[in-house]
Amino acid sequence: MWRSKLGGVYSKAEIEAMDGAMHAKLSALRKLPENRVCADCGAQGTVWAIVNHGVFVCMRCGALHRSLGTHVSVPKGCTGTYLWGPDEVQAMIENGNAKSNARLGGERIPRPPPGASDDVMVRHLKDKYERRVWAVAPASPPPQAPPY
Amino acid sequence: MGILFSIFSRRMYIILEGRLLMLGLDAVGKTIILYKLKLGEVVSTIPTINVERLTYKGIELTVWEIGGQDKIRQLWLHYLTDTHGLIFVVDSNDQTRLDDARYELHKLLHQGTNFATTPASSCTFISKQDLPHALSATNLAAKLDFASLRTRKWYVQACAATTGVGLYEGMDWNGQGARGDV
Repeated sequence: MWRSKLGGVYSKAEIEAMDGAMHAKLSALRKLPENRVCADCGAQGTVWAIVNHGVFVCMRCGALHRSLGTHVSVPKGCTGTYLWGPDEVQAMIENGNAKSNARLGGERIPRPPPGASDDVMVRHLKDKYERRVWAVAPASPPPQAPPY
Repeated sequence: MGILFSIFSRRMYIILEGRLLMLGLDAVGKTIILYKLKLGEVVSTIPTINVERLTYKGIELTVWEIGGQDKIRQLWLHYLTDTHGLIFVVDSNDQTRLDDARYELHKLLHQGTNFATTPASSCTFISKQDLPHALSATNLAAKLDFASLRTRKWYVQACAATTGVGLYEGMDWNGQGARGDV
């Protein structure tokens, strides 16, 4: 039995057999212009994925995400040392950097300056993913008719 | 048990060496524990196989730390040979993967019985106690089912590697294991 980080349960043999296909899909995704640059700092080249947010990030931001705790970020490497579940790859297809960033605030998200320290970056990531301070508010329920 | 060599004079010049193996699922905090012990500071890391020598209370310890990503876990068994102490790290903040952690630990120890060597001491670091969803060490020890590992001495130590809380208490146990005191 093998459990993905999104909770999907598969047979280990099945997941191992699919490994090549899963990584081929991931490679194709990472070649898309939106996913080729880090979702958080904008660096070229993405080697980590944060599967619960559906974003691809650079090695350094991946390491910083790993320090946040899995209640905020669920990290996974894209370069071959992990097994990937179909549900995880699907999450990356359905989200990706453009969509996820739009949901988390798009233009409102400030870009940390190049060379920002780890502390500054970690604060930024917590604001963006944990406190979601720039996130688009969920649609509010339709207003109710005023009572007579 | 577990001693490589000692003796010049029992009191003054005891030279002890031990080999520790640190394992655990991916991103549970193994590397950060190692470097907190080695350097006293926290470094950010990439996935790993690390080996560092550190001296702890007069004992020369070689600590092997092997990554926990799916495909790297298969290597764990090969590092178990001639290991004096096993450190297994569990992320107390990630309750969804406790089953995986228990499975991997029990599998490793079961396979390891085919080898002549058995770590003298085993210690579990229950990491990330500073995070909001952390389970207590007692709770977690029950879920990892140490009770069924009757032949081994387990020491369960809660810790938070970013601050260093709990690390030295755990290392005291490993030091005793390397000395053959446990």
